[in-house]
Amino acid sequence: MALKIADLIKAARIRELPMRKNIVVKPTTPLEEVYRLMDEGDWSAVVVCKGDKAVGIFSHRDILYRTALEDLEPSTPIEQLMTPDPVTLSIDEGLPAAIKVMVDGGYRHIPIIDDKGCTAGVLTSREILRYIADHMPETVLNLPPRLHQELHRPEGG
Amino acid sequence: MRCPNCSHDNIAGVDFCEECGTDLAGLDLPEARTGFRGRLLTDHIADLPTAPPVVVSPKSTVTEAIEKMRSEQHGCVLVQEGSELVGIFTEKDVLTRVLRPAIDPAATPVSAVMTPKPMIVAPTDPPAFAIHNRVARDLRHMPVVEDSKIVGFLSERHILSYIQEDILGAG
Repeated sequence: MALKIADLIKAARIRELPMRKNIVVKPTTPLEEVYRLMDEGDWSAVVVCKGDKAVGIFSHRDILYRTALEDLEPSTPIEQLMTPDPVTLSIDEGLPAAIKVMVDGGYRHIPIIDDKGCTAGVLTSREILRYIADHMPETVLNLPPRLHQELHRPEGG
Repeated sequence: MRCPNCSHDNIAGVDFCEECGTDLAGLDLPEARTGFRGRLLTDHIADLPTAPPVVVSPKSTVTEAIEKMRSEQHGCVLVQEGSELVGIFTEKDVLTRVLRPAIDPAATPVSAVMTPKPMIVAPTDPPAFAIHNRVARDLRHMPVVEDSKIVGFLSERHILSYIQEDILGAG
């Protein structure tokens, strides 16, 4: 494989990466329903959209900080609990810009805006790592066996 | 390891793919490489920007664990009994194991909702292992353990930060 992975990442555009498209709820969606969707769909976040515009994001992190211990009504609309005005990127931006936003801001989800100003999907940190791994499977996916990946206890201990 | 023929994710150390029978023995030795690809195999996780671990005891309540995650601004806590790592409890578990089943966080010990015996990485492991764990095993939080002692904690953000500095910072 002659292509250098660093050059590949630098040249990649966001539109070439897989995006999550269906993890969208309305501002009025009740908290209980958002919990159910995230749990059953195994989503780490939902994007709150008004029409085609992303107005907020609600993730595992928001649950940890804002809803986990608070005695909230299950019917509370998600717009009262979401993180409003999430950082978005254009679908024409490069992959390095997305990595920078995630590292600097500590985000794992970036709503991606298409040419018409609509939300095209959500780019996740997981998909970025998967994209990188997929381009060097012999380095990342085929790894030699190792012995200490699980905690060892004495026999019968 | 993933079979190059059929992509089946075999357990580590098998000689033949359990799905299609491809001989995997010769693939166990990665070639020395240069550039970023090489550093993924020759760098050590100890060189990455890992975080100090946030630890609770198995008897701590779920409420205490969540409060600690909040105060330490950490997406997970490691559960330690004596000096031994016995489990991990993450922000995802808050939703799937506490809020959805509607258990009482103040009356439940974290040991009841943690993932026992979590996968770990060693400080001497290459960064490629961490990316492998994230992509192939869907692990976002990895305790760094040396000689049975927790020495650090590696998250997805640390991996991205390493990639950014190594690939993008250099260019």
